[in-house]
Amino acid sequence: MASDDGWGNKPGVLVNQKLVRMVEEMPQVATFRVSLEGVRCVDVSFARESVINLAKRYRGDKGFCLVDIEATDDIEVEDILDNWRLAAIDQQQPMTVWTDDGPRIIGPQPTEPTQQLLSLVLKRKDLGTPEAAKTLKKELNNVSTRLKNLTDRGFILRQEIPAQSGGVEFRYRAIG
Amino acid sequence: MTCLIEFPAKWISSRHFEETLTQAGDPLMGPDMDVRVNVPIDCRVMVDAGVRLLSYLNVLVHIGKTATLAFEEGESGAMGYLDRMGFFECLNTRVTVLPARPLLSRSQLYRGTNTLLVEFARIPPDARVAELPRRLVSSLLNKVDAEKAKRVLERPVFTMLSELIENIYEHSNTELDGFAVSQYYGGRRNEVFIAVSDSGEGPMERLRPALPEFYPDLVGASESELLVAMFTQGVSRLGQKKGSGLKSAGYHALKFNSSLDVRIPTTYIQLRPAQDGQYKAKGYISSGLPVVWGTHISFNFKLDALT
Repeated sequence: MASDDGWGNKPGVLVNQKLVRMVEEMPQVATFRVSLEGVRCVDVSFARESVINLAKRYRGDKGFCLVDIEATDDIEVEDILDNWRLAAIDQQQPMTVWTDDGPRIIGPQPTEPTQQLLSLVLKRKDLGTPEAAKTLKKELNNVSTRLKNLTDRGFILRQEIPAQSGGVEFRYRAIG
Repeated sequence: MTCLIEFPAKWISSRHFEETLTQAGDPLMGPDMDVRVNVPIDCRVMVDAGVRLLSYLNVLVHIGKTATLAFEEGESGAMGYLDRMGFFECLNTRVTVLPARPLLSRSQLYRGTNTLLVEFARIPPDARVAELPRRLVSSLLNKVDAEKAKRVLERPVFTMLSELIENIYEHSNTELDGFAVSQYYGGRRNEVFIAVSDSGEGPMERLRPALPEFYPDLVGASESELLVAMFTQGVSRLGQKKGSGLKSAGYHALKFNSSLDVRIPTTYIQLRPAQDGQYKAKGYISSGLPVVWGTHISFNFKLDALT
């Protein structure tokens, strides 16, 4: 950012372009933490064009989250996040935010049954489908579909790791 | 012949500006090539009216008319007040000011090198002024004493200003400067005014052709219905792809239960927060008004709950 305030479409697009270049230079990195340290005011246009559209562009593949929110109390945290939330709703692109209370999602939210599953991923930070199905007492297929859906919609990230039995195991992770 | 716009001897808000303009006929489009605005003794021009007057006078001389702004009370009245806020630095030099245009703006003397104290700010549509919303916010917060109010106001007011200013860059389609102003009136009034004006083509020119594609159910809507939809639903000529600055500004204004009024070329509406937490057109709605170029938006709200 050119100053500690970010506003308007064009400056947001310029920041977005810089971030895209950065992301493309690090193909092995799946998660990017965007620090709000030193950022004073960000309007909806800037939030949308810079980071929210970045997350939308790489949805399901790479994850972006907001960290380092400089606030004196919870009210100010909400005040800071307000425009990010509006931009996320505008673009139907969820955004993970990390505060002292851990990760949370601002912007669009999943439907109630899937919300439970998302909360579990955010709480555990990293889990597999069998573990999720067991914890929520749901069918494996149902949970698997919902986890895939949460990944495709940009709520969480999915990682393939080699399973002990051979083959591949999917792990689902909170972004950040 | 001279067309006379005669303000009454009281505080003039944007609504009084509209009423006065209507009484004068249609100074911009009418046949008279000379337009004179009289500001009598005891007339005080509030910033939301001031920013519209500024744009209006600049358009008059832009289209080749002659314009005179006469202050009966001289610098001790409304002229001095407008001068301190930077009004004359934004007024086209071809507008004649009576008794005389201030030689050295009081706002420059008063402000010195402290650009944070600016109230009226020029918005050249082709050159983004990066620090503009911050300047206007700082100017406003400097005048508010209560720390709680300062904290609560900063980000919403920043966003209201920045999104409205961005709208000028994105949509006004004009070479004429726009203007923004922020002001806090203390004492019993305890009220904030935020106004942004441009002298462009107005929002309907390019919104109407986009309606069949993006909002077919609004094709037959009146201008005032469309204005409400722009603030509440984010209706925009680009559809929902980019989001809407007006909707974002309105969202933050609702936090303060702010009144909102909008003037476009021939329509003026006042919006009020309704029970459902959305803006509704209430009270003064008028169409077929004397022509005013552009889009003029002003918010005003009391700080009583915050001070």
